[in-house]
Amino acid sequence: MTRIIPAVGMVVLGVVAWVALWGDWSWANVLVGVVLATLTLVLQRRARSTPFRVEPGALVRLISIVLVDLARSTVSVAKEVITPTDYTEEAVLAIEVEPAAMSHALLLTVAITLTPGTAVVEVDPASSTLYLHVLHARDRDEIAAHVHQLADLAVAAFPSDAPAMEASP
Amino acid sequence: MTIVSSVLMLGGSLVAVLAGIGILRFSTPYARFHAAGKASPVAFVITAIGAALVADEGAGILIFAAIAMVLTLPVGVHLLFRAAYRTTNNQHLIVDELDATMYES
Repeated sequence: MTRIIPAVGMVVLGVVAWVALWGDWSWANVLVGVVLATLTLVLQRRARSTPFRVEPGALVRLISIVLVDLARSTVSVAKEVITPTDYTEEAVLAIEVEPAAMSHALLLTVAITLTPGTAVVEVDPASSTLYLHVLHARDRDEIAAHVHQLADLAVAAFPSDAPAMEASP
Repeated sequence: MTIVSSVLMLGGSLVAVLAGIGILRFSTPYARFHAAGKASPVAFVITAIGAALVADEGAGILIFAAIAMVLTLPVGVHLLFRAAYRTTNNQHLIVDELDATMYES
């Protein structure tokens, strides 16, 4: 029974997205939107192998941190562009995260790449290590702490009931 | 409202210009990706919000485009980094902890 309510929410979201994309509120649009949203949801339910839940509180915190990061990274890149001296010390760092976070690798990659001065170069699920390219190697501890915070929030926002993803070659 | 939207659109353009200068000024491919990959979604989002405030229609599309941009661009940036790492010699990196471990086998 608890699955009904999120399903209705997803359909409503889908319909709103569909109507907004057409930019025109008509019954035909709404009707087609309902059909498409339901179809998408049914197909998605069939394809999904690992169930997951959403924790709204943690998700909102994750999104707000990423938004602040985006603003900060824009400022830091702008500063690096404007100032004549080159302060960059480029490095590729290996940062280990909890194995549980590897099932959220895509979300983590998006969040980390939006963080100031860091980007994901490679992900190794076997050792649950992220290899990050950083512009300022001297901030290593700060970067590691930030990545761990993002990883914890990603796991908290989408608690997975299934065991972590197995390593693929 | 027109003033707010103008400020937002001009601010977005300024960020885009700075990103463009960054691409020219930075000397390594990675630093250029940082400039292109971080500032351009911000520039797009700010400009889109500014435009959506005054648009008669299509505001919804602008917002969706902005969300899609922020969610998908990092994946492309990650692939650029990955491809660049595998095809350059990385001499300029002061620390490289990936080199020794992952591609040994």
